[in-house]
Amino acid sequence: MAARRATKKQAAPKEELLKYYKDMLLIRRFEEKAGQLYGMGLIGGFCHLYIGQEAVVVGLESVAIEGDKRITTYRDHGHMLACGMDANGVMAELTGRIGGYSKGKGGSMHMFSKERDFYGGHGIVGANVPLGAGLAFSDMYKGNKNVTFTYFGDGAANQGQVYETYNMAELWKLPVIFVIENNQYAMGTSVKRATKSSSFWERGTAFSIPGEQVDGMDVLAVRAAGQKAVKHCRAGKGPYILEIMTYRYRGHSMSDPAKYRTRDEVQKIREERDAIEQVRGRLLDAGATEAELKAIDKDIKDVVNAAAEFAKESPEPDPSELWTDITVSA
Amino acid sequence: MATEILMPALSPTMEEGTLAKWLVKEGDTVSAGDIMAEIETDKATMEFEAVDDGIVGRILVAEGTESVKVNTPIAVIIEDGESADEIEAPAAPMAVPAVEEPASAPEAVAYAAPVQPAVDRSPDYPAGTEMVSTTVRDALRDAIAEEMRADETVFIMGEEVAEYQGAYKITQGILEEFGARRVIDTPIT
Amino acid sequence: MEFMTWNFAMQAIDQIINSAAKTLYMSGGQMGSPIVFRGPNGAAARVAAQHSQDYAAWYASVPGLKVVQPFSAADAKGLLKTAIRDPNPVVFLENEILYGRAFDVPKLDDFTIPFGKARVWREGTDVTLVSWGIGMSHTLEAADELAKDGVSAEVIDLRTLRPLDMATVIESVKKTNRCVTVEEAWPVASLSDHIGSEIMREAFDHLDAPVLKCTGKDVPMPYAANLEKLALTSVKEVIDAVRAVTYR
Repeated sequence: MAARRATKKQAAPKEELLKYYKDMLLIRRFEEKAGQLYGMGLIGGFCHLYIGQEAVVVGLESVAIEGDKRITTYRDHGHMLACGMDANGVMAELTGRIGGYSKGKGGSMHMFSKERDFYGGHGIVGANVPLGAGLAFSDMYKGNKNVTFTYFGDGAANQGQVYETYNMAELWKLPVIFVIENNQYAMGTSVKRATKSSSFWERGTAFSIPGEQVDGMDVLAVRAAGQKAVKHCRAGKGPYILEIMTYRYRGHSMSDPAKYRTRDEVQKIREERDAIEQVRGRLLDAGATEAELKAIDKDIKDVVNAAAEFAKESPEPDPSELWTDITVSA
Repeated sequence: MATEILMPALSPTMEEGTLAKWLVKEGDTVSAGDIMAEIETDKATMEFEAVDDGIVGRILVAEGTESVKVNTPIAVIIEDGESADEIEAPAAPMAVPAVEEPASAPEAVAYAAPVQPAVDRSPDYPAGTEMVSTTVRDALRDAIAEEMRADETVFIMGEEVAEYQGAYKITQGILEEFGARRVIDTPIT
Repeated sequence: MEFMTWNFAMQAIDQIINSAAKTLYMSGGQMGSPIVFRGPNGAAARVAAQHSQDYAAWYASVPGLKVVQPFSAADAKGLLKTAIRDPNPVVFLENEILYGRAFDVPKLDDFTIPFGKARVWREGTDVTLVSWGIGMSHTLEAADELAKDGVSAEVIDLRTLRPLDMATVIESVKKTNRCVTVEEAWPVASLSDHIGSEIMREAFDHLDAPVLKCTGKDVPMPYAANLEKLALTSVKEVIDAVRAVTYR
């Protein structure tokens, strides 16, 4: 079971491209707005933006079916929007208001949606990986065909608990896709400075888990790899590893001056490989007009502005909320 | 429409900062993502990006200015075709919602959810119930087996719980009764 | 979910506390974690520092968890059944030394014991002894000895440590005006400290003596048989503490 790299250039019809364009643009505009609200003091604490990595979740969500689960780290806003959670509820959670998904009690890093099978939003690097296997275990126990997308970063990929999880996932043939979003920096430590064995997709080999490396700036490549992975999982063949090569344009969190990389490095990727620009180019080739795309941009700006308004207007949680949701009555 | 650029909060604890350097000047065109200024926070010097496309209409706070409060307007961005002359005087910094303090100090500090304390000395089982001498080990096993019989969603996992019958024999006979799907040996982790 | 012993659960403590205990709150009530984490806890016999720790106070301090530490077989059974049915994460602390000990267990088709309900093992008038888990062995033995000297001890087994049945303890202390707590864990930031502070808050005017605690010593568990004995609390310590608070 040799691990492989996907190289084939993918194509897609215009309608499909339009959907990816919209979904990715929503994430980018949402995150820009979140950055703005942070700057205004309306969002506090840690806030990790997903700008640059949009193609990863949008590509993978395109292969998900009803009942599939997802769990991720603290860089989670994009995952929530991509799986269909409401922008208003996400933004209001960022501002710590009652209209947020967790009633303002979770914040940027801790949001959940039972309805959309989104299981957070976890703040401890690597700790969500065993939880993802646990979610997959529940699907196996119940005997359904669902899979769990377990996202983590290149930093977490060096953690011990990840490999304990790989071992159990393959042992029990759990339907879990381990998605390593390799944005090349664990906070400020580049992959090269963190490990001598930087092919994360190959690290399943020791456990007999197949994997592949994917161009994460190309949403169609992500989709194609995702299709292979879900097919493997749904067939009961166990876990699958996708190392998705991506890039975050902003700092690790809002207070990161990003001195560990050059401005040119960021600018070069933005100009040459930006995921949204790539789809935009494909859309124009497929016959979309500038006017059509501009109208989409405007619609998305409206959605994001409305979310920001909602997040400002939604009241703070009532002080009595301090004491609720600690335990449930038996 | 002219848009005010406000002094941003760039860390969880920042209340004011120094406008270290402007990287744009009045009349420059900027697009989203361009670095407009360098701002010194309480932690570090941060680059401040434009969030929208436009033209720098006016710079309101000169570079080198210290102690610029968060949310103070520092520049105005105008759209193509607008004139910088139309810019009105900057508004006061936008208010950030303050955390509400209780009106007066509470009489006693509440540190847990209020509960109704009630003393319940009722017996755990009716008087006259037949009693059977049982070890703690067997009592635990019986509890697990009874609940697994009653509810199919109950399962047990752990090191040596199945084939070894439990490192301390709490799960003796559980695998035989419920099978490997519900009694799961985990590898040591 | 069985831990071979709770000592090994520190490898998973992030998931127990940061995930299991906090998910309900972090999700605004949308989803929780109905898992029972169970296994032997505390000192066994001569297994030394890394295998002899009582985690009661650690887990009992965590909002979002329920924590159970039974002494008798009936309580072990009734409380474990309640734990399995509970929709919250439950930390169930057993004891290896008690595994082989026999108690009377009611013969009922479905015997459960609610959380947050202490059990009064014996009624008394001179002092309230509060304990749980294996601490109950020393406590009951001490109460028997004290009775021979004419000291009437009321013995309360807390059974569940979160939620904690302070109402039963406070009511008892108001009657006896004295209290000694007995636990196996370390003395600093112990559950005994918490119970003592609650008694001070709720029944200060009723106290005729300070609340004393008998705990494990403030040291890692030694291997040598004599030292191990010294590191744990004992019947004698409980008796001495009772004599101190009753000024006898």
